[in-house]
Amino acid sequence: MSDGQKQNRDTAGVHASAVVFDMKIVFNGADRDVRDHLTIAELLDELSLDPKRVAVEVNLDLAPRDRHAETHLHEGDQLEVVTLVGGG
Amino acid sequence: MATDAQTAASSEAKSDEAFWLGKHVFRSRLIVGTGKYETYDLMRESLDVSGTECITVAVRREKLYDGDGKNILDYIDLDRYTLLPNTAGCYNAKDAIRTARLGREILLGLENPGADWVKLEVLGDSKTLLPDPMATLGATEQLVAEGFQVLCYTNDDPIMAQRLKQAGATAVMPAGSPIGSGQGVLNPNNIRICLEYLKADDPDYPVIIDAGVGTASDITVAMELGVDAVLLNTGIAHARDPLGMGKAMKAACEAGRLAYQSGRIPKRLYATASSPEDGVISSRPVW
Repeated sequence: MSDGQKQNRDTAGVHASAVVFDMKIVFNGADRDVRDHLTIAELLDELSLDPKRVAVEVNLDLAPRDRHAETHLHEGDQLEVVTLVGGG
Repeated sequence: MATDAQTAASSEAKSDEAFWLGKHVFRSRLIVGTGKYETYDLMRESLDVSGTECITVAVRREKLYDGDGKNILDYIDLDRYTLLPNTAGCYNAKDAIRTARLGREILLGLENPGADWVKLEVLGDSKTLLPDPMATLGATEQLVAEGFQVLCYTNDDPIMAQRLKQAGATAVMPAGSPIGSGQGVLNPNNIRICLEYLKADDPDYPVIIDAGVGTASDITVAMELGVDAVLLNTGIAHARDPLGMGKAMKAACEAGRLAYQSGRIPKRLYATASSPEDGVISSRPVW
């Protein structure tokens, strides 16, 4: 990962100083402040995650990839963003 | 009488036959896991020499701050391998079902043919990693209803194996021995009964030994019993030389399959001479 990507991940949700973090979600078990009404597609983009390599669940329900752009997140949403790892 | 050429051709055809697993067809009868390798490069090379065409993967939370940012998918040729996502680490049906759906979603994104199936594991206990039979059956029913081809990790109980098949499992995969234990097939008699029951009216129904393989002979023993394939991971990944062991596992699988098809001789208590009894110059002892 490049330094730029790392920085991007560390500050996900921040594009300009005017942006306000006014929403709290739970991302993979940890609290995270994000912009109000962020979509799943925007969140993945800001985290530099390839949408083809991850799957997203919101409040225990799968959020299909073709609906990421129109699925807005809400205060308190519980997100699981998973990928593939080695396993038997 | 068959000529040598015919015999050779027949043997070749046997060892090279197609293996149907649900809607997928393979030549190799090894399914190999992708976990526990020292490096991704070693994993890639070990998979290569094992000859497998079907590899298992696990579904886990994306780690945003993962050191070097390497992804296993950069080391897997998606045109060569059919991925089989598992539900490893799930201790109840609900989580296993969620994990199966997430795995399918990723494989759809990757456009890999493995998007239509899952290796279902619902564990009962973290010390033995033995399956929870009730939860496994419930999850199988639900996932079959959702259109998954379910490959079911189970114990070697023939009754449970039948229940899973009745619930619509695409394949039943009894453990030879506990996951990662390297003890081989501990109860070949139960595997024999599983095979007899599951294949009684359905000889092509896939039965796969999943877990417990420690070395090449474990695979040969399993294949000689008549199982259709063997799934393993640790036996290769944690061998002192995973590349050498990957090759050994491939040869062992082919040897076991051929021996099964060729029909072993029955075991007898007493000897039967291979050389003619007639014309011997020696006299026999009289006791």
